[in-house]
Amino acid sequence: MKRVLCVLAAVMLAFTVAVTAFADNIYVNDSSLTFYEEELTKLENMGGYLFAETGIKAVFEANNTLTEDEITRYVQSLYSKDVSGKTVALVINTELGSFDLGCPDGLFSVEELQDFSDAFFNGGGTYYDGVCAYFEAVRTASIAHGYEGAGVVEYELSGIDPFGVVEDEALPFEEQELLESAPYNPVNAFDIPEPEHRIPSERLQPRLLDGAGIISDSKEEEITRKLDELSEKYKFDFAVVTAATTYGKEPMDFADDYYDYNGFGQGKNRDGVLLLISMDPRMVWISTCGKGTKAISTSDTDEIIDLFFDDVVNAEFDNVPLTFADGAVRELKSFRTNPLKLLVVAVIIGFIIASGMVSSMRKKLKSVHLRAAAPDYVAEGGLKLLMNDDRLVDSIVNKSVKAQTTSGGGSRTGGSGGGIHTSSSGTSHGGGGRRF
Amino acid sequence: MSEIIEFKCPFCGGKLEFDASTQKMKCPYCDSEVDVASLQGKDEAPEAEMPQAVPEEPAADDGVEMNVYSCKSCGGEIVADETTGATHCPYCGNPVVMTSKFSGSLKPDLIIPFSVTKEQAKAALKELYKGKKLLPKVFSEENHLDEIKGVYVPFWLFDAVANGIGKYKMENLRTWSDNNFSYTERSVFEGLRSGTLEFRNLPVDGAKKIPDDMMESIEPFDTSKAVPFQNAFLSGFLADKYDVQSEDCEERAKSRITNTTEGMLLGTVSGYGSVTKKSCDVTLSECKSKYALFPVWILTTSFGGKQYLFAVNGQTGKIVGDLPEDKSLSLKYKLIYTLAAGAAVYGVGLLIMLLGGMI
Repeated sequence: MKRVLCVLAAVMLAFTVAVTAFADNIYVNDSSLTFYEEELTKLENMGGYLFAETGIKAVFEANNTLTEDEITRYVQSLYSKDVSGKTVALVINTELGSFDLGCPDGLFSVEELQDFSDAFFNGGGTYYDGVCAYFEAVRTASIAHGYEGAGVVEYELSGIDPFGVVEDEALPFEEQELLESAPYNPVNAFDIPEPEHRIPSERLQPRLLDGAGIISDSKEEEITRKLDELSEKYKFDFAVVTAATTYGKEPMDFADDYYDYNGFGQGKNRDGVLLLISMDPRMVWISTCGKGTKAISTSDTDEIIDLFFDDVVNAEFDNVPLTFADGAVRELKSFRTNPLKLLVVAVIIGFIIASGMVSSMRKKLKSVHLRAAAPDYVAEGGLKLLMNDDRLVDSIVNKSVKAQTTSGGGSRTGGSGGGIHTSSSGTSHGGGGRRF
Repeated sequence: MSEIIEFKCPFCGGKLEFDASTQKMKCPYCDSEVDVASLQGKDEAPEAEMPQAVPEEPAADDGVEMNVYSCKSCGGEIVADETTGATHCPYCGNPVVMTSKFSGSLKPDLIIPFSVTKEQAKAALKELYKGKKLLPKVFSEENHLDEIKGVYVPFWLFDAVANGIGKYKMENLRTWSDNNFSYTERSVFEGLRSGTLEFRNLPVDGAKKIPDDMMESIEPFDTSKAVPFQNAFLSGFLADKYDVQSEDCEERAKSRITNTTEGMLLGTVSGYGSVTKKSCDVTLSECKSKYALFPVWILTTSFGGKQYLFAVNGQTGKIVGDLPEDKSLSLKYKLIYTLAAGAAVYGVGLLIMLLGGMI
């Protein structure tokens, strides 16, 4: 009974604290001490900025004292208390894994709420990234709804500009970049022929296919020649395809299928790498296959995309294929190891092993040592224990979000990693991409 | 009182020596054997006709106190240092025992008689050479002993009861995960241990000229096999009386007792991922010491202008002694092993790279 009372008291206390806290222009309530102070400040700024810009108050609380039912009631109380009626509340118990997300009727649709929670859970490796993604999703939806807040003046004046912070650290709000991207007016676009769903024995398409019509005709020939040269030289296909649309497919799947069913790749493992520039959705995707999956990791693809991403955003696509090819060649070269280097490493390791063995042989020559202890002279009966007491004094549970290997990536600049996955043809692909 | 004692064969008058293999007094001339116990009376009442030993002027030789005795068999002069309690006459080779070194308050409480013979001690040295790849070949092949002597080394044996109280900090790490999260639980415990431990007959070398580390290395000595002291056991061997007082040896005994107690208390803290000692206090009570003579074979050999010393436990046959290293052999082994291990690593690395498509 006493325990029940304690729990009740704790819950009531949590309610009081939380409700007062949010009422006082607080956007993140970190009851379970999930964030660093610095992160908390950034999140508060983002929440404040979001509110100033859109008038939507998005709040987040991590509270491990609440049960599932209590979370639901608490979320309802959070948005019903808000006088403006424009609150979105997300409350989670990180230990139970229970959460609830809610807003007053009509503010956002159920699908949008679903998007917010998806953004939170797929937002990245940490709770901090998750909350960033959640705020970001609320902000995108708010702008789409045309919500307007009081403006951002006070934040700029006070010198705290979460937008600035966000851009500097390449944190969320990728949509900002989307708005800045140059418009796409397809003139020379054509449909990319849908190949048969079987892997042909020979390559069916040239190494450059400009389906979106975004590369100058004069450059196309040069690019194709260069890609062919590199592919012959490294026995590894370098290919580029641009598409006006991916026909509703995910860019990753589109790129993988294009690669597989058009017979790209050399050798029995079909080694190669393909760059897809898709205009709908606006995304670049690098798909790797065979040796390419080992040589060019997801983080490598990110680095390659960095090389030409500005050009893509500015709609200057002419140099993109060759910049991509150069980057891919560099990764491929760094992956190939010189056997001479291995020899040097082997000799060093051999020397270390040999030194250890010789030193153990040397030790055998010495048999005279002082003896620190004297267990041989302990009388019969040995140690008589008079006291034998072990007490638990502290127990700390650390919790971290599991690394997702097949999807996610995310919030950095809206990119995502493909990890190693299997395409529809059953081929193993790697890669990564980024929206623009 | 006689200073020197000899044990005469009742049959031929030859000088009896203690024989390690039969544990009896044996005449080297007529092979007669006599029980040690039967000679007990001789300790206190030496034969009247025995020539008196000469407590002549102690002669100083390079700062070491020397005593001069005269041999009862041939009258030759035996010069021995202060601590020598048994030796051989340098002229006639007869074993002599300086009884004054082991009588009255200097009488040892216990003695462990030799049970390892000279031949066994030599064989032990040969055994020590085995499996030592870096030992210079010349050392083991052409090695001849400069000297082998059976010495009764004086030891102080300490008895004590140790009381220890130890405080420990222990930690356990446990990890598990569910669909979304991985968890690490770090549990910290505090442990308290207190216990008593009784030590019996912990030996500490009481002779300055015998290296302490060597004596500790040939341990253990089984004092349950020790017998009351009798001069007869010394006949045929060398013996020294202690020249380090029991009080001066006590520190060493206490240090080893404390270490052992701490180690045993720590050993009871089990079932944890990591254990750290926060404090451990050991107090000793009921400290007592006894004086004993333990049998040790000391072997000396020289190589490359340097002397090498070996000690064999005269009770168990355990041998210790640092051996020289053949530097060129070490280098050769280092080269061979570097090449062999390097080749193996290179081969495996090459295979991995080939399979991984890195070449």
